Amino acid sequence: MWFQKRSVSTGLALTCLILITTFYVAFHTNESYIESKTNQLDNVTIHPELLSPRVLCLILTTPKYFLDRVKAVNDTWGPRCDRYLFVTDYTPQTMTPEQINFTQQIPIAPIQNITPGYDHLTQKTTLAFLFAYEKYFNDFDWFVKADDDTYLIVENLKAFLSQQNASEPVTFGYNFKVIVPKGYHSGGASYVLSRESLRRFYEAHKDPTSTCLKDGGNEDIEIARCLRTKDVYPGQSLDKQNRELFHTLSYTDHFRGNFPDWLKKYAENPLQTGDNCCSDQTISFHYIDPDKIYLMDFLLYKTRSRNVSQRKK
Amino acid sequence: MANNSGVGVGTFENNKQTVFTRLLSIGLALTCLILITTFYVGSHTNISYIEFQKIKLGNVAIHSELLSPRVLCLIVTAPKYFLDRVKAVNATWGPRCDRYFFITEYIPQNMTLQQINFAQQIPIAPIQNITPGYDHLTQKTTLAFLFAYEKYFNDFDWFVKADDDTYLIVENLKAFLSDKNPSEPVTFGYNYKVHVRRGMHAGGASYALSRESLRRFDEAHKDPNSTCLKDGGGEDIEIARCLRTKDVYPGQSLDKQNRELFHPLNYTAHFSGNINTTFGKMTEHPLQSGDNCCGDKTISFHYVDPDQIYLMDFCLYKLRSRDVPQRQK
Repeated sequence: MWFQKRSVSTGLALTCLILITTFYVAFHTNESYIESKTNQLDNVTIHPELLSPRVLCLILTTPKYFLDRVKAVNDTWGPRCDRYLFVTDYTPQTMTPEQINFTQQIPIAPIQNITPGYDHLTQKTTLAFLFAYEKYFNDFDWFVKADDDTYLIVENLKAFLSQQNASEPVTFGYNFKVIVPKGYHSGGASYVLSRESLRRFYEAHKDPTSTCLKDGGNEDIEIARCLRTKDVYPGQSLDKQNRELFHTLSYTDHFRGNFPDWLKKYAENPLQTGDNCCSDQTISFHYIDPDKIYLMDFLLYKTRSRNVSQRKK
Repeated sequence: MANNSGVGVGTFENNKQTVFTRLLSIGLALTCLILITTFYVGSHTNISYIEFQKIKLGNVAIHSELLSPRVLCLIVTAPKYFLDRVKAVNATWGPRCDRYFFITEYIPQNMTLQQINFAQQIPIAPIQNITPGYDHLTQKTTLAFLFAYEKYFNDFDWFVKADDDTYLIVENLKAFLSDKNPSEPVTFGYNYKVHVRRGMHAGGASYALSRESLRRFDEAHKDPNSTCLKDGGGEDIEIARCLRTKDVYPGQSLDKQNRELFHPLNYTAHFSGNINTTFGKMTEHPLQSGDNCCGDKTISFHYVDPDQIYLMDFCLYKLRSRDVPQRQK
C-alpha cells in the first residue's frame, strides 16, 4: 500500500512537472503559435517569399530617359522584382558623360543591335523577350515588360500571379479587345508572360515560316499577334469587384474619367471612374512621371499610417 | 500482544504518514487541475494577452481609438474652391478628424448655383461676418479659433487649422499628439524661426493648438489691452504673435531621425530639394531632401492640388500592398 501511494504521488508529481514545463514553454511561444495559425488561415501575402512566383522585369527605355525616369524606377519599384533589367539602345557616341556614367549604376540587359527610336519598340521588346528566354528561362515563372513611365506595385503583381499557372500559355495585362483576335494588352500598363508563353514566343521566332514581325508596327499589338500564332491567350485581370488591376493611364485619369475617345472603343471591360476605377490590389499605372513615382513610393512603402484601425474608412 | 501494540503505535505513525501522503496527493492533484485549467484558458486567450503586452510595451497606434486625442479640424477656404479643393478634402481626410469644419465666407449673391448647392453637403462653421479675400485670413482664422473655443472647447483636446490645399494624415497627427499634453500652452506645426519671437508655424502645413493654447487665445482676444490683431498681416504670423502674448510656445515636431512631420510644401518639393534659398533661411531646422525630407509618420503636406489629394488618399488608404514584408525596402 505504501508502495502504491508513493507511486501515485510520484506519478502526480511527474504530471505536474510535465504540465508546468509545457505551460512555460507554450507561454513563451505564444507569438509563433498565433503567427503559425494566421499563416494557415490566410492570405498568401503574409509569407510571400515562400509562395510567391519569381518575376523578371524588363523595362524598356532609352538613354535620354536615364537620369530621370530610369533613375526613378531604379530607386523605387525596379528592385522589387526578383530581377530587373533595363532594355535600351546603348550608343555612347550619342550619349552625354552623365548618361554614360549612370549606366554603370543600373542593370542593363546585354542585348546587341537594338535600334533606337520609338519606331523600333517591337524590335526592342522582341529582343528583350528572346534574351530573357535564352538567359533566364529556368530562373523565373513570369516575365514582365514595362515602360520607364510605368509604376508597378510588384507585391500586388506577385500576389495576383501566385493564383495563376505559369505552365499555361497565358498572359496578363490591361485588356484591349480590338485589332488582335482575342485582344491584346496595353504596352504601357505592363504585361506579363508565363514561362510557357515565353517558350512559345521563342519557338515562334525560331520558326522560319512565322508571321511574327521582328520590328515595325506597335510593340504591344505585334507581340500579341505573335503570341496568338502559338495559341497564347490574354487572361482576365479584374478583381472580385470587377475593378481593373492594370491601368493604361495614370490614376488621376482613370479616377477622373479623363478617357481619350479611342480608349472607349478599345477597352475590353467597361471604363469605370471614381472608387471603381482601380482595385485595392492594383498592379500598375502608366504615364507616371518621375516625381509621381517617388511620391507613390513614399506613400506606399514609407509612410506609416497603416496600423491605425480608423484607417479602414 | 507485541504485535498489537506494535501495530497500535505503528498504526498511529502510519496514520500520520497516510494523512500526510493523502494530503500531498490531493494537493498535487489540485495543482495539476489548476495548471491544466490555466494552460487551457491561457492558450485560448493568447491573442488578447499578446495585444495587452503590446499595449504595455509599444505603440499607442495599435489601439489608438482607446488612447487617441480628440481633434477638431478647421479648414480655411472660400466658395470659389468649393467644387474642387473642398470637395477633395471632404471626400478624403476631412472626415478622419473627430470633427471638421470649413471656415468660409458665405455670400450667396457672389456664388454660383453649383457652389450654393454644394455648400449643403459640407460642414461649414456657422461663423458670421467673415470678410472674403486673401487679405483677411487673419480674421478668418481668428474667428475660427474663437468659434471653436465657444462651441467646442470641452469636446476636443487639439484644434487644428489647415488650408484647403493641405493634405493631412490624420492618424499620424493623432499618434503624434497622443503623447503631448493638451493642458500645456503649446502648439505644433512646421517651425519657422523668423518674424515672431520664439518662432511660428507655417500656416499651410497646418498647425495644432492644445486646449490650453486655445483657452489663452480666447483670453487674449477678450482682453481690451491685447495687441493681438483682429485682422491684417499674415495669418500664421499674427496668430503666433497673439499666442506669444499669453506665453504659448511652439513645440518641436521632428521624428526620432530628425525628419520633419509637417511640411509647408508638397512632397516633390521637399524630396527633390528644389526650394529657393530664401525659404531655407526661414526654417528652424535645416532643410533636408531625399529620404530625409519626410518622416515615416509624416503628418502634412501643403500645395497639394485636388488630383494629388485623391491620389495620396488612394495610395495611403485603399491600395493594399501593405502587409507584404518585402515592402519594408
